[in-house]
Amino acid sequence: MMRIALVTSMAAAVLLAQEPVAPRLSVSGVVVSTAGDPIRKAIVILRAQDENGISYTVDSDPNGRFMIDDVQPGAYVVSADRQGFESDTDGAPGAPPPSLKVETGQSVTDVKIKLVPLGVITGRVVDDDGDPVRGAQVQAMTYAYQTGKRQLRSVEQITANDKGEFRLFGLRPGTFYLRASGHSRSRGIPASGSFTPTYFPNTTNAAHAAPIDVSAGAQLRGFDILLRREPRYSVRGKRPEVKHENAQLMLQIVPRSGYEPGFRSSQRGDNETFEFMDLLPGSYVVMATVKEDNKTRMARQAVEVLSADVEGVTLNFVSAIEVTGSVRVEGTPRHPLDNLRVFLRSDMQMMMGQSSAEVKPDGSFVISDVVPDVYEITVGVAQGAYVKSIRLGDAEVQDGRIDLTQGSGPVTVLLGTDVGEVEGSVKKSNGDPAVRVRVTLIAYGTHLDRSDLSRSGFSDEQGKFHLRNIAPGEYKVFAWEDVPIGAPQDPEFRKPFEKQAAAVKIEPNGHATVELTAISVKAAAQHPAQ
Amino acid sequence: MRRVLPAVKWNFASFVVFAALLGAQPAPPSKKPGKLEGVVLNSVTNDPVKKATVTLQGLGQPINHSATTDATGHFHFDGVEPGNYVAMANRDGYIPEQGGRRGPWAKPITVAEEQEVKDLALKLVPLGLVSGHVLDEDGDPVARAQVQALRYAYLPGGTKRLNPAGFANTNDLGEYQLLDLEPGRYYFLAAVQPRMGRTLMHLRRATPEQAYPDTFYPSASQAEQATATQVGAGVQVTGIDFRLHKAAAFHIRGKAVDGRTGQPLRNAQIWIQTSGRFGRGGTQIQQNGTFDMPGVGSGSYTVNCQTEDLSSRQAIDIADHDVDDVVLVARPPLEISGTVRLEGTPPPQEQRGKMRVNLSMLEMGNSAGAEVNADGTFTLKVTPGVYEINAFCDAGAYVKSIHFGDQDVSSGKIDLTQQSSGALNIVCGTDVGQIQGTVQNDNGEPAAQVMICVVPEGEHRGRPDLFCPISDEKGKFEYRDLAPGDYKVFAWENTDPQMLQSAEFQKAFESRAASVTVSSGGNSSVQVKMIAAADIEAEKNKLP
Repeated sequence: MMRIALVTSMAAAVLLAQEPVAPRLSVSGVVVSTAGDPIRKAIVILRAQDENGISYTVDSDPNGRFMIDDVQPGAYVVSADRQGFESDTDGAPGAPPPSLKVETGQSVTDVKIKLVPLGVITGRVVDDDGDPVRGAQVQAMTYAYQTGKRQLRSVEQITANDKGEFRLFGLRPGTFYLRASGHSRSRGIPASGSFTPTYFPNTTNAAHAAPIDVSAGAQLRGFDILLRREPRYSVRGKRPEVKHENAQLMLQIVPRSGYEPGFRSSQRGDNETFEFMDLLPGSYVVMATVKEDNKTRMARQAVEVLSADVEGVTLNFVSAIEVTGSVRVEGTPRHPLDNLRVFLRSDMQMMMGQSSAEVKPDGSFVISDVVPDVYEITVGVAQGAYVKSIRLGDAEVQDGRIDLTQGSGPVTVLLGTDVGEVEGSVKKSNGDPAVRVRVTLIAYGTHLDRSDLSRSGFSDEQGKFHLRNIAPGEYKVFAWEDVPIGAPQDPEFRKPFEKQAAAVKIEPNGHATVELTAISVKAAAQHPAQ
Repeated sequence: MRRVLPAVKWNFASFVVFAALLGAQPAPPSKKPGKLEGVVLNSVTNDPVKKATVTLQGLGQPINHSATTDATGHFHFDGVEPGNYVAMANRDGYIPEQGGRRGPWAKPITVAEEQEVKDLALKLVPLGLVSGHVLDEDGDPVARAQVQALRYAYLPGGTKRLNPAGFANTNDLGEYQLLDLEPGRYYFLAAVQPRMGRTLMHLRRATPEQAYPDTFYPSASQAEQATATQVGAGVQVTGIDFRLHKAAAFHIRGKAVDGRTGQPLRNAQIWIQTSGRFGRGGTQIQQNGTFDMPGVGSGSYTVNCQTEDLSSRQAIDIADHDVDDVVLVARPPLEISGTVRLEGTPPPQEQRGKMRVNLSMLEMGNSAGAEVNADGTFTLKVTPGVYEINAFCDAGAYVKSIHFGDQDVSSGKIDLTQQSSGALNIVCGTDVGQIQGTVQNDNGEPAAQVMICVVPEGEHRGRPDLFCPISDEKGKFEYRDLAPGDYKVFAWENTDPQMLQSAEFQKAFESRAASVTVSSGGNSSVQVKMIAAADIEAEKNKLP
């Protein structure tokens, strides 16, 4: 009886929704800047949270107002987009925007979408005589975390005009560093000197660059950068011999550090020689790859550029190897494990790109063209699985690093599926629920620093969170109000906050509960004593 | 040295010829050095150019000197080894002279023992500058719009295509500035990338979807209706302002599949190309092989799909609705095999070089090439498309005929849009003749370092394998291994090699070319009047 009644009432609800006379639901509101000004011509999107639900879009009117008619009941995320602005969501960086519920029979009014006006930095790039550097490249850079490392990264780049003037725009409130370099087109022209990339105000060392704080909608003027010409040098050597014209040859030079923002070198040569030009003094690596007759050989040669051109660089080639292996799954995965990939990364990764291979349906994989070296091996796994162990030949791989300098044996990857989960709630220091804060689970104990076991999510409107697909083991769980994206993966960054984390042990297929207090990174910086 | 080279390789080829002519003698060591000094000037204003880099490149000897001009535009080189040199100047904001690009016309400089070469004047042509605004229908600035400067490029066979020659993006005030445009006639195009949220599944909009279509200055959707702007050397053109108006926009949706297995393609790049132009917008392919390209205005496009080893192209017309269900069947490249056969008496083995066959796709700019094996066979791998064939016969031979299966493709064009098979058979004739001649300027004096173009008449007209040698210092030239037939010989003081492909351009000067007939085993003589650089410039500006 009960069952029939339920079905009937649901059918009735569906009919009601389709009935034209039924009250139409609408969502209306206004798009405003954080300063409270209305924003016209913003694209407003009401995005259905249900994958198959209908999403809606409309533009805001001259008063910033919008109205979306005929909205189906359901949960939505509402956002707006307008050039010169970015969305302003409460919660930790990266947190999803708040959810909007549209319920039967009740239109939603007075939705307020706040957008942050973006900032502008203007200035001029001049040479040591005060002459403009026409077409100089100027970058706005900011520190960001990538694979657990804090790095200066370019977020906006602009070309100065013929008077050396630049206008960097679209800057989110935050701290920026400016870096200028010469005209991109002047590269490759034999020159007695070219401009050395320089950070504002006057340093070639990124660590000494002056921070520029940009507040919402700020228009900062007068950021002039002086570029100096410095001698550049060339690195020359004998071009590797190839048997056929159809052979593929790739030659490049990269800084030894692997990463230097904006590094470029131009190359020239003929059938017998190669030349890398425009190099500042420093440590470099010349790399060559030759592919012919279905074989690949590679060479790397370290080069020091002091105060002269470097001549006669010789390249000693080694044959690339093939790494074969298999992936075995223990237990039954909750989701199908397709799209598995095995990755090899070396310290030279920046330069060589990473090698990877897809795992075939039978679990086997072949990674070709691998230079003999020490690699970090990772497996891109789907939800519901984790890397339990990796063996190279008969030896268990420690720290995820495999040494292929003496060749390779078969690699055996064992995936575990006995994943557990952890849930709980987060409170602010005053006891209120901490809404949309970032919750990070980091492996400690035997799996210390296994970044692939780390899990991250956000607390909901009630301060609750739920992390799934966790490998059995020991963890610490952190809740962050305002952590930069990627920062919790940096052990150095995490260290001062460890005592505010909760320790948790996940048993195979286990379930754990923790109560957390949200960490405020900003407050900690202001009151280091706490 | 190879006797026949494709026109597009002209730059490099002629530079080699030039160097061989002038710098063949090796410099004997321990000669007393000389000096060289001069000034760099702006070719338009004649003002000195400071901070220019001047390089002195040895001809036939691996010597490179470099200096920077002072505040008065002067430079000097001390301790210059006696020999022949080319001097090149470079400075931001001027046409670059690097890499022999203008080498063939740069006058060689001879520095003798203890000689002081003075008053060398190097002229730099200043680049032009174009600026303006991109505004929307309300007059509000459009940020991050891309403005392209486009010029016509002339392709063999009389077709032309708009090629990008410069890019700039608008700032938050809608301002843009195109730096560094070489003198010429340009079309300007503003393009706006669609912003977020357009590819959401099941998106319902309050009004039909609209986007800013690509707009040619001032407000045309096609280049044919656009206004071309002449940008002179060193000229600043301002006020190239665009007022964009939204127009109905549509989606191109579909899927890409691996033609071998029928499985969806995961790691494919998908992009569309507007007919007659280089491509723009791309989209990320979804996991299941589907794609959705939003904001496409009415018009004709090609949808391209490319993975590491597979590709597909499909023509799509957008009228007034979305195009769904496009299926891109990506296939591996076609394998074209063939033979090259020498007719008649082949040249002696020691004179024989490597024969090559190249195919280049006219629309896309991609190409494939292969060396011909010792037994005369070759194999090429190409993606489907229409190709231009460039075959290079041996010394003492020319391309007489090309057949694809039983189809005569001697005109140099081959249609490989369909999955095609068949052998590409090339016959090289050895019944060659030669021409030799002299070039004179308007005053009847011999003209040195002039580009000579030998253009076949009659059935060979339009063959891409025309070749331009240059005259030597006394105004003489020679060209061997020509197919028997009638030719027109042009002598250009200075021009962009690409211009020579334009039939309109050739036609304008046809009356000033000399006619000559080449017979098998013959040696024809010809006298040609040089076509002056000023006349060439004037004619260039008349072209669309």
